[in-house]
Amino acid sequence: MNPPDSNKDADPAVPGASEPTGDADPFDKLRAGSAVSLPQTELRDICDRLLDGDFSAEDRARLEGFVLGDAGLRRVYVEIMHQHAALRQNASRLGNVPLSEVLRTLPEPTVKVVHFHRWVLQIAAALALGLAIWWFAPRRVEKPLATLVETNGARWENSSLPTVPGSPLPAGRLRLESGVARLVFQSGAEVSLEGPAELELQGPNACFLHSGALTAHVPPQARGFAVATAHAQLIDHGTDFGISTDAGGQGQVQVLNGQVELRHEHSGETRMLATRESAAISADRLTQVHGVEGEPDQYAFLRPNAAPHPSTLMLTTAGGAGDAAYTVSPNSPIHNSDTLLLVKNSPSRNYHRRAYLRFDLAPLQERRVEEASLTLNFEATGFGYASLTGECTFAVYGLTDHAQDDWSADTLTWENAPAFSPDAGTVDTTRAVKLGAFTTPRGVVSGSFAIEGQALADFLNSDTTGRATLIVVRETSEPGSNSAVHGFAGNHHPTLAPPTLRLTLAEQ
Amino acid sequence: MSPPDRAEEFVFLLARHERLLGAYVMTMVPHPQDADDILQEAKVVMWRNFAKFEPGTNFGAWARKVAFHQVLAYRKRKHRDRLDFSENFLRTVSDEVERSADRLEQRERVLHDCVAKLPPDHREALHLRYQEGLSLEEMAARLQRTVGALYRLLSRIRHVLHECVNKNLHQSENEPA
Repeated sequence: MNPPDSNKDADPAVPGASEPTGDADPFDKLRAGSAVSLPQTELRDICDRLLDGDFSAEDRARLEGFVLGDAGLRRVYVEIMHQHAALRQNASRLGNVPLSEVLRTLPEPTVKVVHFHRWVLQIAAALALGLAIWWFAPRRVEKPLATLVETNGARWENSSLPTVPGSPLPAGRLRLESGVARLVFQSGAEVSLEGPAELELQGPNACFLHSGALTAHVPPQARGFAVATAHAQLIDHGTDFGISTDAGGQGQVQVLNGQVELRHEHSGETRMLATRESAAISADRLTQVHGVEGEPDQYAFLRPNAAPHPSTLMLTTAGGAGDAAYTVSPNSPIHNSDTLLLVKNSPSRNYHRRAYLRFDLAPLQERRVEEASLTLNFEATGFGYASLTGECTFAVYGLTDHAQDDWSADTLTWENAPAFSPDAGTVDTTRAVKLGAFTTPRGVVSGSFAIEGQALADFLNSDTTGRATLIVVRETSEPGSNSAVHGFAGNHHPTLAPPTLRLTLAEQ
Repeated sequence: MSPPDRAEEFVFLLARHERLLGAYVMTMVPHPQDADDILQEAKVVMWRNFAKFEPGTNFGAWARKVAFHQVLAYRKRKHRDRLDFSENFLRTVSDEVERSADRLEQRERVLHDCVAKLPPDHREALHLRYQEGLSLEEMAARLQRTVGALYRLLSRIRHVLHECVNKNLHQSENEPA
């Protein structure tokens, strides 16, 4: 039986194709109605990229569309892949030796079945050529997949991951307890991860968001950047989006600018989202939300309830014109730390140390601070004995003499420090105001301690120079000199976050 | 049946079906290395479970079932990849191969004749790409041509072969047995 002739020789994509023949291809009708269908040409192009070129995530999506949507194209896909595999396998045959011969050259099996298993397995392995048994070994390569470029109050959980900008990040999970960490993938894709969050770096242009929220900026060279969650996979087609998910996989995606593709894991459903479109991800489906009116709060989706929320901001002494340092009274023994800011008050021996913190307030953009807290992350300094250290109260002062805000960690000394008062337990209260105090329990020299309150917020609002200097002193003086030197993380600590201001800003 | 006969049976059955099996895995796993790994694992699993295979039934279908599970297991184990096909796609393609297993095996036989009819430079390109396993870059260096030209050449050869097999397959189908 011969179906009507198809117009095969008119295919412009096939120079030197087979001669036109009288008999027709009975599958042409199944394929696409004509031998020269555009989808079939595109399908072939995609297969070429799959086999010889750079197969992209976009190609993958197109291909799935063709194969799932059209029986003829599905058949062509299978034929093309089969032909490729046949050529490949034909080339890699065990010469021309029949398998029966291969079998004969192997030693006779012993009676013990165990031995027999072993040698047959070797045959089975030898059947697929050029391959040794290395497939059992994982092929994990410990190469950095991304670089940490910036941290803002970032605090990693149970992890020795670095917070120092420029640190390379290998494959694996990042658990960010709080704060914001900005990473740049090898591909160039930029991600801001907001704690608490758990992100797994999977490839130079791919990650898995287990929980939490991130925003991403994807430059042209990183197109195809992929973020997987428990129930969906997002593929960026450029340029800015946000995605959040809870640990159960319920999540949201919002495109801030550009286009992303969202594929639901369970249903296979795929959606393209454009600028300002968003979608909700649940275990069994995607729900798209179209056309957000007006200028939305871009990051509302990052919060569990997308209700209007005053914006929050985190500043650290590592950001902008920030700085952190400590000064040492002239008589003190020479203990130094590159990573900790040391604080001590030992009047009997006249050993004193004070810490100075400067925050760059530019990110406030003149907005009013409604609530504020300062967090310091203490760690044992190794100087003195924690067990001999009683309860200690520390005071935080704000420098009101803004002319003195321009100190530098490099040149700061005991005497030239702002609001200098020779009395180590206090500061010059004509130039600084006490903002609060916190107490560390007996024997405790590590952990996070914070002050918060209206005094700190008011102090920040009274700023006129865009910079704020805070001074940390130990108020409790100690009887002996063997008690511990307290220290909290400065700007160069490998794991602990630098001093951090958490601010709640008034609506504009 | 004594063990050596059983082993021989396995090896012969596998030899008979492994080529289509390899193609089957490749339709679902784009990376050739991953596909090879999966195929290897599948063969080991098949051997371990060969006692469960009922002699006389369709070994090819049985082997593909094992391989399909290995594909799924492999995906679960390794990191997800943006190039990975959806499970829906895998099942659809798997069904398609199963349905057309006989026809695909016929196609492979016809393919050999079609390769033999190719002009020498096309055969040379196939030889370098498939037999020697060269990358396009290596081929370009060897043949003093650009990667782009070789990419187009291989694309054309694939298309020519596909059309050639289509044509000759129907001829042989139309001929009386």
